[in-house]
Amino acid sequence: MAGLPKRIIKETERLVADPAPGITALPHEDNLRYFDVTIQGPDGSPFANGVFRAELFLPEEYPMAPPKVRFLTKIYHPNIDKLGRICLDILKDKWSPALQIRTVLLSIQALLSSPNPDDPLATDVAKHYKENEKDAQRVSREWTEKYASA
Amino acid sequence: MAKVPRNFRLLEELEKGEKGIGDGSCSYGLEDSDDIMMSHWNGTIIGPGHTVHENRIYSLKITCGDNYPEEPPTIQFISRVNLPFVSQADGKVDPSKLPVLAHWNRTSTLETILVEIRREMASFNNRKLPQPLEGSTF
Amino acid sequence: MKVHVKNWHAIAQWRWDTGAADADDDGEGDVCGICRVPYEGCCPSCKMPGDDCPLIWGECSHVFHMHCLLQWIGTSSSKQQCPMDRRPWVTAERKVDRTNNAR
Repeated sequence: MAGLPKRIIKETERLVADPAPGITALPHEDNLRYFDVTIQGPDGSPFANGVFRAELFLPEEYPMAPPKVRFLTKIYHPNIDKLGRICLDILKDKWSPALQIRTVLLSIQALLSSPNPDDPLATDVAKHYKENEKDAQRVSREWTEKYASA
Repeated sequence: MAKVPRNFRLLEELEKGEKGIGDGSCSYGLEDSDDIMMSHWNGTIIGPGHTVHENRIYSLKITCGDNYPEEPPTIQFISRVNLPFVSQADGKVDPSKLPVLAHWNRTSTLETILVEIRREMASFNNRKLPQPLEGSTF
Repeated sequence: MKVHVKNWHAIAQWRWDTGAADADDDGEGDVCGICRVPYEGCCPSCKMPGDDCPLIWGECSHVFHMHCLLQWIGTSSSKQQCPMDRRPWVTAERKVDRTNNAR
């Protein structure tokens, strides 16, 4: 644990002892800044009943700079691209050191419930969501079943 | 110092590559844009001026294994080229003959490799080596 | 009965006067919102709590270890905003002075 800031140790302990509902985050044994994450799709969203794998890394500058997060499970969502990169303001220009791993992961889970096709990362998916939301949600559900079933 | 794990390191390299590196004489990108493990890359080197390689465009394949960047990627030329570290059978780069691969450390990147290979093309020993027909492939 | 005091240990406790301390949103109590160490501890770059690692108050009423806040304000991504409410950070001068004098 040499050199690992107290804040990261505290956050990790709490994530393990008192996880947020529908979210797990476990640090890699050989890199305590690198976490294996799972996020359950929120009920009532096309991602419901899916378990999405993600990875999170706390850069040297954390908490002055945001964690880096990406999905490893394929997901049909206008703000998540083919490589699992996530377009979310708090991971970029709206980062604040008052945010934590837990709040970041909860925000990502919330993003699944409220896709924002006006600020897209996956432009083709965003177009689909804008032009025919029902049909786009159908594809999201299909992908959830195909790639994210637990 | 925080150790950037493989996937986030490759994401950084991808973003850098998408923006374009240096003077554009070397470039790289994912072979398949939804390769979530980011293992297979294409590289391009424009042959250095005032050498036999001048104006030639060389394509190569770069493969990043699970242990990248602890271990270097494997490199294979697609375009035919005559260089001492490139197998004339299949275009594979012999890592023991290319210093940047032989003495690999995790701060080296895909960019460093391409830039080093281009520098080798312009070295005193290699700049005048007879070359196969332009545009031929392995 | 005679009592001889052979030796004695004085024990004192101190706390920063953070005013009406905001209850932390997740019940962690009086911790710096940046490093998550109690106000009475010190920021990650200091070894000793106390006057060498003071607190800083904003006009917005939020309190941090001074070093933590200055490090954040020094980054370009902070846009000089308070980490808690993203309002432009304005240091509440008076409160710092009063506390330094009173304690």
